[in-house]
Amino acid sequence: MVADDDEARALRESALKNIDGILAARRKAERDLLAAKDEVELRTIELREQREWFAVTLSSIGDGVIATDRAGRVTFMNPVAERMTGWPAPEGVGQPLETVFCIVNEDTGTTAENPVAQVFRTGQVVGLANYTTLVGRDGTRTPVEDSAAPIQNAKGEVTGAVMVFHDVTRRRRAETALRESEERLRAVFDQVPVGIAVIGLDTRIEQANRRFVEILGYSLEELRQMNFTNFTHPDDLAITREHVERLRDGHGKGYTLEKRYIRKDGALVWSRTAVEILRDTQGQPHQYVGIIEDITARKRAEDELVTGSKRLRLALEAGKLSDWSWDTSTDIVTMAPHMKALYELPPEQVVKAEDLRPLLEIEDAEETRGETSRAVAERRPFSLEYRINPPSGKKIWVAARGQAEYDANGAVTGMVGVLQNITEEKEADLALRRYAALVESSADAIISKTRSGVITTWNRGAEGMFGFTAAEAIGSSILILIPDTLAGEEATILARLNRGERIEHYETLRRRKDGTFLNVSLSVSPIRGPNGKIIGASKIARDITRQKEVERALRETDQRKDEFLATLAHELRNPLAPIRQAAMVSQSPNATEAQKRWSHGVISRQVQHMALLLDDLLDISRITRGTLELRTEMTELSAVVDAAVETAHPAIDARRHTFTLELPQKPVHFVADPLRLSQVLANLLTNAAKYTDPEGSICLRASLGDDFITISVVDTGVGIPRDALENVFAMFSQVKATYDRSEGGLGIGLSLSRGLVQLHGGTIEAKSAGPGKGSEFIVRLPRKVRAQGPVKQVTGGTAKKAPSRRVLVADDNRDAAETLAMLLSMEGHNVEMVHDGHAALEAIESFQPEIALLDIGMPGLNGYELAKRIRQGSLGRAVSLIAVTGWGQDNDKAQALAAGFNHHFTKPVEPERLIELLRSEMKS
Amino acid sequence: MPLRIPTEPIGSIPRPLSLVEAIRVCGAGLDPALEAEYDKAIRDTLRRFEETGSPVVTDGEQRKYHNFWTYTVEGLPNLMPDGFKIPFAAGHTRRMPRLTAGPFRYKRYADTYLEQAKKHTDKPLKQAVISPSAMSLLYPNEEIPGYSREAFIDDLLNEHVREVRSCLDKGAAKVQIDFTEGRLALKADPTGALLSGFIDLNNLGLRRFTRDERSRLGVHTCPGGDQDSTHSADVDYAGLLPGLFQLDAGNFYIALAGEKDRRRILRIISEQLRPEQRVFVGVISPIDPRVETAEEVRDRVLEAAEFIPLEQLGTTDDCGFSPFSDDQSTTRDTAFEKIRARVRGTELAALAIQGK
Repeated sequence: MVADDDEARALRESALKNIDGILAARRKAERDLLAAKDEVELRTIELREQREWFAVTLSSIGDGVIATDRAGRVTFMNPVAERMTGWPAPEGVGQPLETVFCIVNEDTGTTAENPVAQVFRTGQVVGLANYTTLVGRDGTRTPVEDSAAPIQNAKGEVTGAVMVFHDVTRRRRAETALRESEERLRAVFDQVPVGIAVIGLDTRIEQANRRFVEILGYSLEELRQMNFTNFTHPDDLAITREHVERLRDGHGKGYTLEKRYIRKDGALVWSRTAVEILRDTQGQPHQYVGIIEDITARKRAEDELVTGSKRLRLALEAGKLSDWSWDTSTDIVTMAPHMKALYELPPEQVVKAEDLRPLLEIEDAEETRGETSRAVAERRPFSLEYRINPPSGKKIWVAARGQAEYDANGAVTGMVGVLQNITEEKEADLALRRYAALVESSADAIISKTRSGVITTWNRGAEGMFGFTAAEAIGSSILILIPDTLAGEEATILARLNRGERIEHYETLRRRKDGTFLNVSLSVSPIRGPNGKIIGASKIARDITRQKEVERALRETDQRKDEFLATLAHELRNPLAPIRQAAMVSQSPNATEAQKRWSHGVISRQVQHMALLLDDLLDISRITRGTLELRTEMTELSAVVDAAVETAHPAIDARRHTFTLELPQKPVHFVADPLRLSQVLANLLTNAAKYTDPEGSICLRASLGDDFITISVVDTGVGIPRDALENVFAMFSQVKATYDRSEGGLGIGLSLSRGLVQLHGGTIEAKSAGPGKGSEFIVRLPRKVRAQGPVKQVTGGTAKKAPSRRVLVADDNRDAAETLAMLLSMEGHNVEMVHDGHAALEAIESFQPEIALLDIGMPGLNGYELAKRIRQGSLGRAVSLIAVTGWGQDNDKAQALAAGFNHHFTKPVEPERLIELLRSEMKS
Repeated sequence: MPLRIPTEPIGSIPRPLSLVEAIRVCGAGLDPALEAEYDKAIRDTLRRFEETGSPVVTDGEQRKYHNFWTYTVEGLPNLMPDGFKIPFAAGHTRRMPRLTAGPFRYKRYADTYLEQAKKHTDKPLKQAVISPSAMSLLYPNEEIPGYSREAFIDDLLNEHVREVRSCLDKGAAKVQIDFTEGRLALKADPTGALLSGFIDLNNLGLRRFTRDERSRLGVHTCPGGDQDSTHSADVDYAGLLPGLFQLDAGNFYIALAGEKDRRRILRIISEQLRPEQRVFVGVISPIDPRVETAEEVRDRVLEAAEFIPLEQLGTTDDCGFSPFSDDQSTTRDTAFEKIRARVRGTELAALAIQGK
């Protein structure tokens, strides 16, 4: 050691001085230890005393106590434990606990786990164990309840266990008795036929019996997790809560309610629920008891009753049935509201049978009473159909079915039944009958057939049309009617039907039983089965053979009309050429007087020819429209014939025909329009001349019968083919290829002649042996002898020259005006000419004409208006107004007369007639 | 079942140079700026301990920034640096602080070091604390006015017990009380009175613990290694050991590797060792710069086993490798190589005893 001595000494001294401190500390520690020892001894004494106290206590308590060490060996037993186990403490101590304290399970008899073992295993206090039986040393069995707790040292280490147990025989007996009592109660609780539940104030289910469980379908465990709102029907929640709240608030002891629950399986349960509140000794509510009775079946029965009644009512209404009953004792008839409505009785009226009888149709009354009486007597239901007449006057058909009710003595006490309004059915039946009759009576063939073409119905029209009887046709194929050439047509029709098309007015050809063909118009409709599929077809066939012929005739007529129009154009154009040429000749300065006269003659003839054409056209028009009026008068036949011959003579002469006339010796008088009749005969003669080769023979022959006068014109002309004879009188008809068109004419002559003859009530007929064999036209006239006027002499004499007059000619056609003016001037009249209406009016005033020839269609002021003005003017009716117009119909004439004209002339005006009129006007 | 002979370190491991330098720069070991360096050193120490296969480890006392003796009181205001000088054989001294006033309280307790180390290892941790007897030398030769020696000793025992109990409560596998002044006491007072006083004082502390607790407590004694020197290696163990085993501790860590006549000392130990006590004999000499081989260690263990029952035998290092933080006489590498040799040598000895 190299430290200096002072340092070492100081260190040593200081350290040694410290020893005193250490010794002091040691002494203090020893004192503390002694104090601790005293404390321990004190504690030991206390512990001993405590142990003594415990021992005494444990010895005196009623429970058995056994303590063990950590190895499970008994260290202590109190007297109770000694008695119960049969082990004296001196023998028991040191024994394994299982030897001393042998316990078995009360139910199974198997060895139960010792609670001390559980304590050692878990280190925890083991609570009271039930259902344990202690098997004593001598085999006696004592039901015990045991518990055990660990004994721990100061470090918390388990050093042993103490077990406490006691005899529970008495308690077990009491429990058994209680359990049996409870079981009996439970049995009653479970066996009552109503559901019972104990419900807490929080509405949770606390207990419920078996029936309650059955009704709601939840297990008891499930119910205990629920409250009543969980299975109450939502619609009944509000009312339920209201009752519960009232109950809880002290209103009443309970309530009863019919309400619904929803079972666990979702089914609805009707219940009669009675709830009472249970109160504790202080009167505070603490539980509810609910009793529920399943009334679902009753509710269902009630519902079914209501539903059934409703259903019956609906069924009756759907079937238009009204139920009724009659009580003989009161005569009151109880009936459904709409039966009252049927009879038009007020809803509130109490109806008696006597109220209904007057409403019965008289015709049906006897039968109704008779059948009812028979049914009552024979004790059978009756069924009647009759009519009732409610106040509104409607005729209502009803079907009544019913049966009488009898008392024990067989006396009728009343009747019950139903009544049905069958008016519609009756009307439908009638309509069906009508329809069937219609079908049967229809001239059309109405046939139905299957899809495969088998005929299923066949009406009388079909029989007539096709010649097959219904018996022959039904079941046969439709192909019996279809020509071989149209065999595929049926399939086409069927295909169209399948496409949903309806076939109407399909014109085709069909075959009769005799093999002849006919034109038919078919309408075919599909027949559908209940599922909407086409199962067949219904055909209506109309015979259109005649219609086809008419159409053909119309087409021929149209054709003739076209030809006529072409002819008319030709005929009207023909005269124009000579007129134009003659006019030129006449106007030529080089023309000689002879040439001028010739020209005037040409123009005059051609104009007359055209006028005749136009007259014919107007006449045929009048006849066609029925507006031609005959001016009949007592006429002498020869005069009429003479006039006709005179007219036709130029044509006869021109072709150098031999004309013979054969008339009765004596004058024949009869009623006729001589002019028209003369026109007819002239027409026939002209035709004969025209269609007979030159130097032929023409004969007019008249004979007198009792009732008829027969006049025939016979020629040796071209003749008429047989097939043309029928149409020779048709409008616009000319016999083609035979008649020489160059002969001219519109072809309306014969048609006009027939019309005029028919107006006279006669007939006209054409005969011919054929082409080249001449023709004969025969007119038969009824011999009417009642005179309607003086016999008119037909004269063809020329007119004398008229005296001079102031004549005003007004026409916007300057040529027409000038030629007319010139003609009148040449007759010596003083003529003034204007070309419009206003100029004419002025001329009336300035010229003061005696006669005014006025065109109708003039610019400015037309002829009608002009006439009215003139009549209103200064001359008034002093001037004779003559309409000269192209409008020649009768209504045109009537309109002219109405406007103030005195006469009406249709253009072209025949100068002779005009001159004659002027002359006659002057006379008047 | 294979035989296992327990082996434990004493405690200190040389601090990393960076830490030593950082402490020098800061001028004191309490600067918060040093925390990262401390933590880094502790983690590295524990990692390297584990690499040696040591079954029990320490934090190498990296936070005892001054030494193993005064770490509890560094920075107390009632201390002066002019306490007693501890002379070492190499000629240098270490001066103790001097208490100037009462009451006496530790400024820090070792359980805080234990807490920090536990964050970095799952291995059993051993915590070394200073003995009350060593700390009793803080009281000066002259009486401190108003603060008697008795009061000081009382305070000292309370603080010591508090420190040990805290370490036990925080999970220390072992708490080792450094009692290096035992031989020094004999050296200072050959009559043995001082040693006896030290034994009494330490027992007053130990007896405040239960038997079980005392089985986790140990006492380390050595001749006071520092800078490859000792302060009392010249004092015969024969004077110390009978008293030493009177301490009521369960474990004794006795420097033996550096002793000249180990067999004599082992015999004394075997004669004084009580049945409930285990002795960890030193098989590594930290002050020897040479790294022992595992075979050397094995042989030393086998030698000890000749005297001490195997169930009471363990191995350890003779002393900490760096009880004073500035002691860089041994490198960390050397220290851990020596520890590795101890661990492996102890295993070899166990195998040898089992005849494998």
